[in-house]
Amino acid sequence: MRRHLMGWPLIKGWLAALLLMLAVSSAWAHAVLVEAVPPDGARLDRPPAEVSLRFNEPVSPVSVRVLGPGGAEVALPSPPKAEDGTLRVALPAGLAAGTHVVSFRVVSADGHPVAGSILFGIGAAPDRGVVQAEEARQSTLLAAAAARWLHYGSLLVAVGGGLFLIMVLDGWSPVGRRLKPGLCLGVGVAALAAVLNVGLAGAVLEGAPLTGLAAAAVWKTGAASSTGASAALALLGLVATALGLALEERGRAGSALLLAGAVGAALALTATGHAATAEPRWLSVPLVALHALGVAFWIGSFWPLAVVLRTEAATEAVRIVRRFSGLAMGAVAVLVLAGAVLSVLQLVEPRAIVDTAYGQLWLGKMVCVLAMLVLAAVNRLRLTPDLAIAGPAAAARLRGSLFTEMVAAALVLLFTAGLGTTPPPRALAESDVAESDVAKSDVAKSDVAKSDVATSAGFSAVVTVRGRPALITVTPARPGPNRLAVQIEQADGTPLNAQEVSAELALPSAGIEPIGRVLAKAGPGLYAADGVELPLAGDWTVRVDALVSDFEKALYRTEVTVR
Amino acid sequence: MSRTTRGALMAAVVLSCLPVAGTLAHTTLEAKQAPAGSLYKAVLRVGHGCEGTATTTLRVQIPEGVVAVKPMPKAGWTLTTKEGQYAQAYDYYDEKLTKGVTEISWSGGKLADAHYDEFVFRAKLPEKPAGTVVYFPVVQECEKGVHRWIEIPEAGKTDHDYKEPAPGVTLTAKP
Repeated sequence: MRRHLMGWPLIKGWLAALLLMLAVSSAWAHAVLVEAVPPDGARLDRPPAEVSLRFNEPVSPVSVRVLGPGGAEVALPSPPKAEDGTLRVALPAGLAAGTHVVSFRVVSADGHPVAGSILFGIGAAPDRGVVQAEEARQSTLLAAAAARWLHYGSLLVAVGGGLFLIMVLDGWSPVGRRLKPGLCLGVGVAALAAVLNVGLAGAVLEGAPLTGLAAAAVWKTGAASSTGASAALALLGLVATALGLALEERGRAGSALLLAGAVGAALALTATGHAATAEPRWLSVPLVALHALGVAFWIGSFWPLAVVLRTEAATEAVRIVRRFSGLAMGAVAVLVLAGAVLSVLQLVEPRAIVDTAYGQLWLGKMVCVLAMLVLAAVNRLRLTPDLAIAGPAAAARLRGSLFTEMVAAALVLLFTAGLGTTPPPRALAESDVAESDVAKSDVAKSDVAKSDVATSAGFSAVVTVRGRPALITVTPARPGPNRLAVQIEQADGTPLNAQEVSAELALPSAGIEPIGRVLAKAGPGLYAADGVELPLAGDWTVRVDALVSDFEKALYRTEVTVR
Repeated sequence: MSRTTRGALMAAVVLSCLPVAGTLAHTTLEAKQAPAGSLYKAVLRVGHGCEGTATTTLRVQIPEGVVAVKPMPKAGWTLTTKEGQYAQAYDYYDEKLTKGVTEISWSGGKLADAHYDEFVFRAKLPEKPAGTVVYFPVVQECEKGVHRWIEIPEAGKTDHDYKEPAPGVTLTAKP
C-alpha cells in the first residue's frame, strides 16, 4: 500500500512529461544518413566485405535486409552492429554480380525510426538515371541486336530453304539431296541463335552486362518474356523443318512438315517485337507473318539457287530459276505490301522518318531493300533470259548477282534487328495520346483521384493534387529494372515544367524502405528514370516530389502493383 | 521535497527535454501559436546543414496575408528582401498596405552543420479564424545540397507525414 502511494506522484510526473512531449512532438528529430560506404549507386569491381552507414547521431538497428540480383534475400553472416552512429553490416563472401539493395530501418537516440535503402552494383553500375544506365547497357544492347540479326537471318534462311525444296524443286531431285546437308547446318545454327537470343533479351531486360549471361536469372527472365515464347515457336518450327528434311523423300508428310516449319518460324516473329504489337493487332500480326513468309522464301532461296547454278546443267538450271522467278514475284509483292502497311502503322507520319532514330533505321533498311529489288529485277529481266542463251558465263554472272543480293539481304536484316531495339514513333505518339487523355479527363473535382489504367505494358495511374494531374507510369511493372515516368500538367492542361522531380519507391510489406531516385527531364512536363530496380513483386508505394517553384512542391502518392 | 517528487520532476524534465533537442533536426519556428492579427516575432531555428555541410543561405517566403514584415539583420550575413504587390489591401493601424516584403534572404554566411543558429523577423499575422495554420516555406542552401522546408500538409495529414515540412504557426483567437 505504501509503495503504491509512493509510486503515484512518479506516475503523475511521467504522465505530465508525456503530455508535454505530445504537445511539442511535431518537432521530433530525424537521424540523417551522412555517409554510406560503398556510396549509394556505386559500381564495384569486387564484392564489398561490409556496408557501413554513418548517421549524424547514434542509432540502433531495427532491421537490415540485403537483396541480391533478382530480389533474392542475402543471408547475413552476423547481425549488423551500431557504434557511434555508424551501422556496420557484414556481408557474406562471394556475392553474385549485379545490383544489390541494402534496406535499413534504424532508431535514433530519441526513438524516431529512420529508414532508407542504398543500392550498389557488383561488376556493373546499378541503374542510376538515364545516361549512366544507357552507357552500362550499351554493349548488351549491341550484342542483343547482333543476336537478333543472327536469329532472324538463320531462321528465315533455314525455313526458306525448306520452302525452296517443296515449292521450286517440287519433289525429289538430285539437287535437293545435295542441298540437304547445308540446310541441316542452317537449322542447327538457327536453333543456337534462337536460344542465344533469349539469353541476350533477358540480359537487356535485367539491365545486366554481357557477363550476366552466366547467371540463370538472366535466362529465366528472357524465357519468361515474349522473346522466350517466340523462341519456343521458332524451335518448334525448326524441329518441323529438320523432320521435314529427313522425311522429304517419303512423300507428302515431309512437304507438310517443311511448310509447317516455315509457318512456325513466321508465327515466332509475330510473338514479339514492335511490328507485331502495333495496333490494330488483328492487322499487324497476320501482316508480320506474311511478311516473314515472303522474306523466308526470298532470302532462303539465294543459297540453293547458287548451288543449282553451279552444279546443274544449263537447261535444268534455267527451268529451276524460271520457276523460282515466277514464285518470287508473288512472294516479293506480298512482303513489300505487308511491309508497307506495317511501316505506316509504326511511323504514323512521314516526318518521323527523318526526326526519329527508328525512322532513320527504317530509311537505311529501305535503301537496301530497294537495292535488292533492283538486283532482283536485273536478275529476272536480264540475267535469267541470258542463262538460256549464254550458258555457264551467264550462270556465273547470275551467281555473282545472287551473292550481292545476299549481302544486301544481310544488311536489311541488320537494320531490321536495329529496329527491334528502337522505340517506334507510334509508341512515342501513344504517350502523347495518354497525355491528352489526362488533359481531357478533368479529375480536379476530387482532390486526389486515382484511376488505374490496365495495360499489358506496365502500370499507370493518374493522381491529381491541387488540380494538377500527374500520369505516373512504371514499365514493365515486373521485378527487375523498370522505367518510371511522370507526366505532370498544370490545372489548365499545359505541361508543368518542374525545377526538379524525384521519386521514392518502397515496398513496406516486404520491409523494403524507400529507394530514392532523381528523375531526368525527358520532354515538356515529362520526367523519367530508367533502370529503377524493383527487386520484388508486391504493391510498391510510389511518392513523386515535383518542385513546382522555389517554394512550392507538388507531392503525388500512388501504389504500383509489380508482378 | 520528497524523493518521489524529485524523481517525478526529474522524469518530467528528461522527457520534455527530448523533443526540445529534437527540434534541432528540422527548421522550425520557435513559437508555434500566436493570436490572429497580432505582431509576431518569428524565430526560425536551423539545427543542421545539408549532407553534413554548412548552411550558406536561408530564404523565407512570406505567405499572402502576412504583412508589415521586418527582418532582423544578422552579423556575417547579407540581408535582402523581395517586395511585391499583395492580392488585396490590408489594414495596418491607419494605413492600407498594398505591397510589402514577399521574401527574405540571409545569404553569404556560414553556419556549420555542427552549430545552431536562429534567424528572426517580425510580421503581422493575418486576421483569420483560430486554428488556421500559417506556413512560412523556407529554402536552406548549403555548401553542398539544399533542404526545402516547403511541404504544406494536405487535408487530413500532419507534419509527420512529410520529410521536410514547412515551418508553421497556428493562429489562436484574438485576445
